[in-house]
Amino acid sequence: MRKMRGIKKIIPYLGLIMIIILFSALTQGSLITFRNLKLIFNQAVVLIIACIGVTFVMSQGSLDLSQGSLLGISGAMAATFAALNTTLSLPMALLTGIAVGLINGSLLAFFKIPSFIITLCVLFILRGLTVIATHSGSIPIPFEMLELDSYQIKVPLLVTIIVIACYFFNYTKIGKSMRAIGSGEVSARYSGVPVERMKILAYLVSGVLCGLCGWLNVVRTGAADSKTGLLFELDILTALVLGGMPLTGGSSAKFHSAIIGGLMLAILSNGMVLVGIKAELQQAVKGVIFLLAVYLSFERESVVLIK
Amino acid sequence: MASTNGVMLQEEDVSLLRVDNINKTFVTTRALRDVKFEVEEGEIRGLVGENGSGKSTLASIISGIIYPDNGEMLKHGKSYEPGSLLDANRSKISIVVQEMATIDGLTVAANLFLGEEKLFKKFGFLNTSGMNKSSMKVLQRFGIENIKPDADISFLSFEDRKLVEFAKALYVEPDLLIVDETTAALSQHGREILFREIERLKSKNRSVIFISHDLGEVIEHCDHITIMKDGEIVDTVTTGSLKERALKELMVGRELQQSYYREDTEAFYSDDVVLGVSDLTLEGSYYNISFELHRGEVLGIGGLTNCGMHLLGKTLFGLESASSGTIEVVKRKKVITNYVEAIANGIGYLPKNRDQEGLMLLSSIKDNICLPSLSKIQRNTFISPRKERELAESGTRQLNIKMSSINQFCLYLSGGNKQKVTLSKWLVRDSDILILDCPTRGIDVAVKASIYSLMQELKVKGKSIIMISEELQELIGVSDRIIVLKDGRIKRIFSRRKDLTEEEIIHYMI
Repeated sequence: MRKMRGIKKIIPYLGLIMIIILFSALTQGSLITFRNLKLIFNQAVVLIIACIGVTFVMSQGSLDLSQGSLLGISGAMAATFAALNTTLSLPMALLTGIAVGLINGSLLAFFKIPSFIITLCVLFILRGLTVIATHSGSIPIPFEMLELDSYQIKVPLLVTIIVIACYFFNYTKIGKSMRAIGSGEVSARYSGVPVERMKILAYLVSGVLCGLCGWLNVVRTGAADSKTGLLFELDILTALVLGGMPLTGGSSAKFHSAIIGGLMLAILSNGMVLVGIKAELQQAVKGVIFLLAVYLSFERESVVLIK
Repeated sequence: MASTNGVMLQEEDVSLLRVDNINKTFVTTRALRDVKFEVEEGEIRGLVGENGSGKSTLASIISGIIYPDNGEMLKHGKSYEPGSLLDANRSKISIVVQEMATIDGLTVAANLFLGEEKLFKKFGFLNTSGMNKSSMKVLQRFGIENIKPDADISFLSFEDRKLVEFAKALYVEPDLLIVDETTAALSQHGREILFREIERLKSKNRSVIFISHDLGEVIEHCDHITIMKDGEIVDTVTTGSLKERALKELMVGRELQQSYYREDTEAFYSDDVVLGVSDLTLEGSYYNISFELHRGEVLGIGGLTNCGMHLLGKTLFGLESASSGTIEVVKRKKVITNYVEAIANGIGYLPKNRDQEGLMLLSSIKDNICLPSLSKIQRNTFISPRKERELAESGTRQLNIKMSSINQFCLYLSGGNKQKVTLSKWLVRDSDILILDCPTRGIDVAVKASIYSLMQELKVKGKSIIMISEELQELIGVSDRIIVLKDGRIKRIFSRRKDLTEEEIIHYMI
């Protein structure tokens, strides 16, 4: 069993290497050209940041499926307010994320509705609001904001977020309490973990980071669209599971899942485009990979009788 | 106390069940080692041993819940290899397991006939009323009258659920019934039903394997007793004139000390009040509870299971909100309203339901021990892995927890060691007030003794303990004062004295 766990730990890394080798071979090396690596980085930034947020939620054994529409609505908010004043766009995107996180977390903590139901409903609601906010079309942002889409901003931003989040996840009471909830909510409560507060906090982190992603996305594409972020929540979930995140959360939830998984999915998506797989088929491939990843990572530990 | 293993082989040609050289390994733990075991027809066989000695593993293998690594089993001389519990049932072997085995959300009847629904098939649909009627008959046959077949089983008490499981095991009309550590969950009434049915099976030349930590009970009801230790069978003895003490020594494998309760016979504690409880009421559970807990006092709380004492324990730790009244940590002048405050003010709580409430089974021993103390070892939000390790190591060393490392999952620990981990959480946090709800439930004599001596040690150090217990002997044995609850009200407070008897306490409980 211990050996199994050792192997399980490196599966995500092996997967990452395999995907890189596979697509490098399929594309005759154009995957790893500098130009393409920049492209992958741009895709990965948003994915990794969003994954980091959801890592906190999933470590508690909950899900956050509202991310796709949150990316849309926070982008729409950013673009709408950017028209008034460009400095308002980032705070508005973050505030949207915070508000949605608070709603998700509070519904879970106080009304005890299963998290996937709550966030799925919020996903629908926010998509509707996104369509209304963008008038079923798209809102362009002021031209000068496109300058913000630079590596000088994105690289330090990503590194800072990774370092801070990794610190909180692995070395503080907050991260440990959240994983404790995933391992056993009742026992965690009986050991003094403020369960409700932690649940809200996790969704808050997830929300605010997704809000940031919404802003980054708008700045990169130059507009907020009614379809922005469609199926993004499933990309995040797939990435995390590929990265080795157990759906049950708990003590085996690891922070590196967000980074490894995010990179894997970004490379996978990019590679499929390079190879020339049609967009519709790409979704299908992702679905199969998701299923496979869940199958491989699912903990089938049955409770044994030892006395 | 002669070994009867050899003798039996000659007397009977074919025994009811014969287990030959069974081995079973869990991960790294060798749970059973070359186990040879025989049960004759019409025999009640006791199976005793410390936690982790392999009793439940053996029972699970015989009843088809888990498979042995190797070895064989013979029933009436024929090869017997149960692939599942239902398979074993078909071979007329059934079991009442230690854990809860009924399914929430189903009715009593549905639980009773789980896997046998086809008996009640009518035009492709399940004939529920027919099933309910049959259930009623089954329950009545075993003298269980207070349980309604159409009730949702999750609304039943733990004891009633156990009785349903028992009825289910009996309904099979087994040649061999295994009862694994069930009596601890039963009241007097439940026990009466259990033993009456066991005797009835015996009179029909059927057999029973009875597993229990209550050695007195084992000696009283069993013909022979098999003792297990560390996955091996130590001996099988004829009950006859066997004394509990001799049996304990066989189990532990060494001479026991004179007594495992404390020796002094007078209450002894400081006058300082550490916890003041006044007029605490939780509608429908307990009413007007007032008492003071002193420094260095072990305060016992006793009563029937449903007298409100378990909820009172939870309330004292801030897990339940009382309808009225206050709980005050006197030294800090702090009124406790929730569990976070309770812990911050030095209260620790050991829940009755260890596996669900006390431990995160799929987390390491280290994570479990450190969780309540995180705020103590953090420095500016930073928790150093070294400090965590040190804390967990000191905790496991103090209580001598048997494990492969502090990173081992709690799932794989034996009951006694799990309990030690749960206790360790509060010891490493240096809690001043410990609320222990049934601290020795389902735990063998050796760990029990170490828990009692630990309580004594803590008492001497000036810690205060509230011990909620359903075992009167234990209450009398270790408490300075005993509060007796009946229907949620304090009926009497006894002070420790030499001649306090169980009868006296029972008088106020019922």
